[in-house]
Formats: sequence, C-alpha cells, structure tokens
Amino acid sequence: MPLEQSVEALRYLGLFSNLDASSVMSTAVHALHPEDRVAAARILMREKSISGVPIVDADFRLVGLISVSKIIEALADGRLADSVDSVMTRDVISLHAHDTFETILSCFQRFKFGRFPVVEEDGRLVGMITDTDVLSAIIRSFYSVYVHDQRRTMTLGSFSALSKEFENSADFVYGISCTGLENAGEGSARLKAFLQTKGFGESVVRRASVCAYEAEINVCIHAGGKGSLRAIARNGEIIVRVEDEGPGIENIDLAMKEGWSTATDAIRELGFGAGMGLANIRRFSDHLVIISGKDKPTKVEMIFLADKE
Amino acid sequence: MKLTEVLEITGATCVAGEHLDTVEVNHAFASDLMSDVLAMSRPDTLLITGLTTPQTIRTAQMLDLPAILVVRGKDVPQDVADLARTTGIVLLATHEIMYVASGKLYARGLSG
Repeated sequence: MPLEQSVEALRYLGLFSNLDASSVMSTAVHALHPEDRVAAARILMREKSISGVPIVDADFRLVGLISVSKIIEALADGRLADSVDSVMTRDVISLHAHDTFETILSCFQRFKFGRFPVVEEDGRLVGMITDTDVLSAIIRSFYSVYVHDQRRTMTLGSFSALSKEFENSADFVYGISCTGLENAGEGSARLKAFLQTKGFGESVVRRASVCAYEAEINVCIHAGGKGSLRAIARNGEIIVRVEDEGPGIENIDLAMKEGWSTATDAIRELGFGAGMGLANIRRFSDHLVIISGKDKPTKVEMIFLADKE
Repeated sequence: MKLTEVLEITGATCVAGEHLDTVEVNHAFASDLMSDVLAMSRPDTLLITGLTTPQTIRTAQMLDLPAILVVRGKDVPQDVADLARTTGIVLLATHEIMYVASGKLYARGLSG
C-alpha cells in the first residue's frame, strides 16, 4: 500500500494525536560504530533483513547511517574492508522521540527513505521507525481495523495476531456447522466453558463469549453456517478468531453501522439481523480486525485484554 | 428481587429451573432482539422476551443472566426448556404482554 496516499486521509482524522515517535518506533535497534568495517554492516543487514544501519558513537549518539545503496557502492569500489565512517551518510534525517505522528508521516512523504532513526534531545539513538512500524502503530491505535484486500492482509500478517499460531497451536478449536440458526451458539457456549477453566475474570470471559456468539451467529446467517471458531487464551489475553467460507462482506464500513443488516425477515423473526452484531463486537472487544471483501471468506479476529478490568 | 416475587407479580409459571427463592435479579431488560440484549451486558439481569428459540437461552448464557421471563403466553419448545435446564438458566413464562409484565415489575422496584 502506498503509505503516502493513506497519509492524506489519516491526517484529517486526527485520530493519532496520542502517538509520538517513541510510541511508534522499534526499540530493538541494531547499530554499528564508525570504526566498524563496511563488511560488518553488510552482514548485519543481511542477517537481520534490514535496509539501513544507524551508526553511533561510544555514548550511543547518532553520527551517521549506512544504507543498502552505500553498501552497493562500497562493493563496487572494493571498499568492504574500509571503516563504516568512510562511507556512511553523515547528515542523517532523524526524528525526535517526542515528534508527533504527523511529523513522522511528513518525514516519510518528504524524504522517501525507508527508515528514520529516533533520537533523544542529547542525540542518543533510542529507536528506528520504518513504514511497517507506522502501520503497526495505526493498527494498535485504531479501535477497529477493517481490511479489505489481500495485500493488506500480507502486511498485517506480520504484526497482528493473524498468524500461523492459530493454525498450529490454537487452545480452542470448534468447527461451526449449522443449518439456519438451530445450533448457533453451541461453539461460543463451549468457548465460554473453556475460558472459565483458564482462570480469566468473569467480565473478560463474558465479553469474549458475547463477541464470539455474535460472530458465530453471523456465520450462520450470512455464510451458510460453515466456518471455524478458534481461540488462543494465554498471557492475560484472549484472542478469538472466527472464519467462514464466504460470500464475504462487500462494504465493511456499512456493515459496522448499527442497525444496518442484509439479513432476511426470517432471520429477524429469530431475534437477529437487527444490524447490531458487528457493532456489538466492536463495543466489547479491545482490538478488532476484520478481513473480508466481496466473494471472499471473512475473518474476524478479536482480542480481549484481561487487565483492562 | 427474588424470582419467586417475579412469579407472583407477573402470574408466571416456572418452565425450567428450581430454588427460585435463592435466585435474585437486580435489573430487567425487555426485548425480542437478541443483539440488543447482548449490547447491554450486565449479569444480574432478568431477560423479558417473547422470543423462544435456543438463541434466547444462548444469549442469556453468554451474558451470565440468571433468568428469562417469556411473555405473551408463548409456548416454550421442549428443546429450549431442556437447554435452559442444562445451562442452569431459570425459565419463567407469563401470559402478560411484554409491556404489562415490564410495567408491573418496574412498579414493584425492579429497575432497568
């Protein structure tokens, strides 16, 4: 996704005023000293899959940056054994720890670099910000995120809980299979019973159960009753994922609106389809990711934090 | 308010559950729309509804609601009564319409 395009839209929202550089940056930073060899930078970049290494002095103050293009130049000139000092960029564009989200975004727009070091007032390096860090911060700060297309799924995959963990080691797995609404809720009831054995508080279990139930009902109403309900419950959080086989949500923004629904009258007579399902899920979950699209499966992932209560 | 009082006030009968004098509710919520009920999320609440599907019980179960009062003299299907029993939710039924049942309970101090 071109970051610059979304930047324009995000600015107007004013949703990220609470984010500064220190809350966006990665703090696990790999840095080198000026006297290190260029070859060391090359190895570091390859092993850590990073495209630029900040260079710091003995007090960890930022003095330069070495990027892939500099490495390529050094390779061409046969200078891999030279010190980093001799090839690094010295006038590095850096951010301050307290810079606003908007400053960060405009930095990405103006300079077109893939990463920016973050420094304290005294010039000490405290972190790095890449475009992935920015996206990650947006996801974290959004109460809900609606993702429509597959490209963004790929991006999200690296930092949301939409990971392989669900395939490999979910703590709770239930195959949803209903005709109409007949046994809709069976999975959520089992999930609730399971969560109650895990030592979570009543309130977080209730929130997770209500949301799982709404999502399960949605699978039964909108997706032919076939899907799965899985959960990971550890480290003070409950992550619930409900997936179906389609036909997907064409317009997620509309679907999130209270009172909006495509359900039939028959479903309404059964007490559902009043357009409150996703709205309820958003209300009771701490984080919510919905991935769907027309004629696509729908994945709903909800995170519930036990320590919020 | 004890469920025995709910019975007496609304002229209800008990369809599933026992020891009604030991179960207490402090609030009530009246709706046939389960998602509206789910939006409320308060545990010590009596659910007043005309909907008698298994999802009524499931909704109460998810919210830890102790009891449901079925209104309008609706027949409660056997599987629904069974599900209430299995999940430990008390199921009462009255011939009153929702408005009247709610009004009577409210007048006697059961708040919304």
